[in-house]
Amino acid sequence: MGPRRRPLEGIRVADLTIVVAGPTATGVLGDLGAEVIKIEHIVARGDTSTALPKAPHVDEDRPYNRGNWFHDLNRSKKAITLNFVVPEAKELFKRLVAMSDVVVQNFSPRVMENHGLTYTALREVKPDIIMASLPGFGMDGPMRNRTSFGPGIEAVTGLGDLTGFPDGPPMKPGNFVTDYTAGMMAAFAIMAALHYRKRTGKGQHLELAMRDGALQFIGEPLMDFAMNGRVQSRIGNRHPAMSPHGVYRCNGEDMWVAIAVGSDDEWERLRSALGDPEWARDERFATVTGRLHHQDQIDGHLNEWTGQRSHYSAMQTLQAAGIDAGAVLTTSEIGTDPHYNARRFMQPVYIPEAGPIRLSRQGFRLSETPGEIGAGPNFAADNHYVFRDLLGLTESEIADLEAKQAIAWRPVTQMGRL
Amino acid sequence: MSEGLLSDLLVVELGRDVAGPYCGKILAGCGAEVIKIEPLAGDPARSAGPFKDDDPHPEKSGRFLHLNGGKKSITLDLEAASGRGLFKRLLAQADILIDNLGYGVLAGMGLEYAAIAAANPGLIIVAITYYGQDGPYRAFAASELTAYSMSGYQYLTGDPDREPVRPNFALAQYQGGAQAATGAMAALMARDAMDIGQLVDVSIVEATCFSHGSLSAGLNLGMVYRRAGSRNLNFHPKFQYPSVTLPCKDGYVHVHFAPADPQLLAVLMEEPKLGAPELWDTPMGHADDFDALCLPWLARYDKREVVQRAQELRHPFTEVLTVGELFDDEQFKARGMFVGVEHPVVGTVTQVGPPIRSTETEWRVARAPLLGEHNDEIYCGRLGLSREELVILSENKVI
Repeated sequence: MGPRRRPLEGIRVADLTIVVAGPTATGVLGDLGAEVIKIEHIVARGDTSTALPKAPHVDEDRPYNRGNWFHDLNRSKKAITLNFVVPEAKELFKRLVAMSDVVVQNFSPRVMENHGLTYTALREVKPDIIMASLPGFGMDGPMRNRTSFGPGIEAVTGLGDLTGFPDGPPMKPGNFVTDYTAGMMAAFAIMAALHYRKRTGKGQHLELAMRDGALQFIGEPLMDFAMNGRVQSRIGNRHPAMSPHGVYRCNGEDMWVAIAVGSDDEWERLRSALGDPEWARDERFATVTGRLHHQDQIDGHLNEWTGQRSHYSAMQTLQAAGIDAGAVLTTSEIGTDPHYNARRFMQPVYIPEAGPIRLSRQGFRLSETPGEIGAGPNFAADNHYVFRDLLGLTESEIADLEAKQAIAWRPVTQMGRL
Repeated sequence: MSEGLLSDLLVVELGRDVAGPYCGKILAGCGAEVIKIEPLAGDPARSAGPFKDDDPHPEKSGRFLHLNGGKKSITLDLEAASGRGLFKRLLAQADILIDNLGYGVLAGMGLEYAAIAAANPGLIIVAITYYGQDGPYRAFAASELTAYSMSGYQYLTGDPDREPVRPNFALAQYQGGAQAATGAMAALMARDAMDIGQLVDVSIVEATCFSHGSLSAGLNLGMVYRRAGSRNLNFHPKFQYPSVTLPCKDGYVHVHFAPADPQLLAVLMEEPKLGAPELWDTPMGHADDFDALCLPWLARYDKREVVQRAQELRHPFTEVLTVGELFDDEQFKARGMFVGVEHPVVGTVTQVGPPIRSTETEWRVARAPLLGEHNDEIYCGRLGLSREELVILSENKVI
């Protein structure tokens, strides 16, 4: 049997997305074999992901082709330019939509309405088109026209208030979490809609408000309020029913190991893994309620033990005894971690103007039709493919479009606004 | 409009706790028939809080009620040969199997994935574990906390002067469940195109790592991001700022630059110094200065006023809302994001509204099933067992 095709080969996506959430969605589709055509504005790569860091190529020519994060988010895509201020550009877009299966956009709702490029309008040119929109707050409701970015969505959806220490301010969980979760949910919904189209012949408009998706993740605190009127907030690294449960200092700068112990059996195993020290024989620590009550003392002793070893060494010693422990890994440690590497989580990709880089796949791996991370595009790299080969324009028509600033071959301003 | 995106699919869920059940919930929301197989004692989530009225009753777990809306529940002991026989008969009708019982658990009961796949060539098997099906850590003990730490997320979360911290919700397991659903769809696309089933190997740790947006900078540029409170993590002096949570009169707001016209911040906050070109030339390099210049204006207004004034000037500020405040939010109310559903034991139970809306299909919001509520329907109705057989299986503690 020859190599299998990727799952989405033959599916074309007209991709108007910018920044993080939308590009994450179309990046998933691209890795799975869809032909994703990213449509960029002519002014700049209108995409904060092309902003710094551009190193190590920041001082070279065409820095807009070298953004590391841009190529992470826009893997496996082609790129063209269109300036919707020029009427011809909108017509070209509609002609591309007529040849596409999916349109994705993550502007706030008024933008596509102002361009006259709503689902209703696009359905006119492609009756079974699947359009996915990723607004921050939703296509309707009193806050629909608010502008927002991922970190703000986290704040206004309760994720920020739930993250941090009880005696400190709200924090941010990681970096752009709601952008990635919205993008992943959009990729899910688009594929489910492709399945629905195969079954019924119908396309549709999918709406994935970032905030509605993020709300699903805090179900337990929401239920506590709905059922008991209790407002949960930040609890640091503690757990309401497990002890010890925390992050402990190791022997190295800013190096930590996480340890989670619940049942009394697990506590016994931990004692024995630590060499049955005198302090751990304390009767008060033998039961889970006792351990929860005296966690500060237990944490003090555990910090002494972890402080004498590296995070990996503490993790391996405890895991060998069946204790739930994990190093607090940095991104560079993940790059060299034996487990991540054994599973080929990071894969080499060659970017023509940025050289070889490593990018990660998503959290799933398919046994028969795995995805493959392809290079992201240079600016306007596929103008000829789309305008000449797909849409059948002549060279002089393409030159005319450029003269009208409907398309471009280089960003009109070289550096985007940071 | 009563149909869902996936109304034609039958899903069998061997789900426990969060990740497998969340994957199943997404598919159920899209209209798939999701049959959740529980051990006789129930999904361990039934023992997890918060509980209605703090009563630790298996039908009153908030975690279970949130994650299992719209599914059917049957009980089955897979340790018994009779139980495994029924499981195989059910799988013969299924499109998707979700399993997050743990690495090697099904194989330990004589139900290896390869054998399941051989018996059901079109079946999509979604295997969700913390570390995946291979690699040196595959059998590690794991939990929400250690998945968060090993994913790289935790190093990025918290106060720069304190130990790394985690959120008070199961972010890693929810990520794992969501990406499992996406992986299941990728396999469904392959099945629609090529008529094949396959194994979808989902790692909760990898799913979480994929979604912190910092790995490629660490791998390719040597820029190892580190936790910075609520600030953006890119510390390059030219990176954008402000993007930070700051106190105002009655709480906190998220303050964010406006990409189209950042220097309008000076007008918003009536503070000419916020227009200084040197600030905007290296915004992240002046993060402390920005914060200090913003704080006096923020202290004059409550969070609603701050955000209203900022949004009028198209600055993407938001309020930091507590969980309780979410229920009063006008946008969530207008969009029906909290839905009351009747439950036989709990009474009216709140379910979260749809993450996906569409013009052709409906997202199903429904209550979670009671333990074994659908035994009759599935064993007698779908598999054709007689009442006598059902009694025998029950007496032998198979169901």
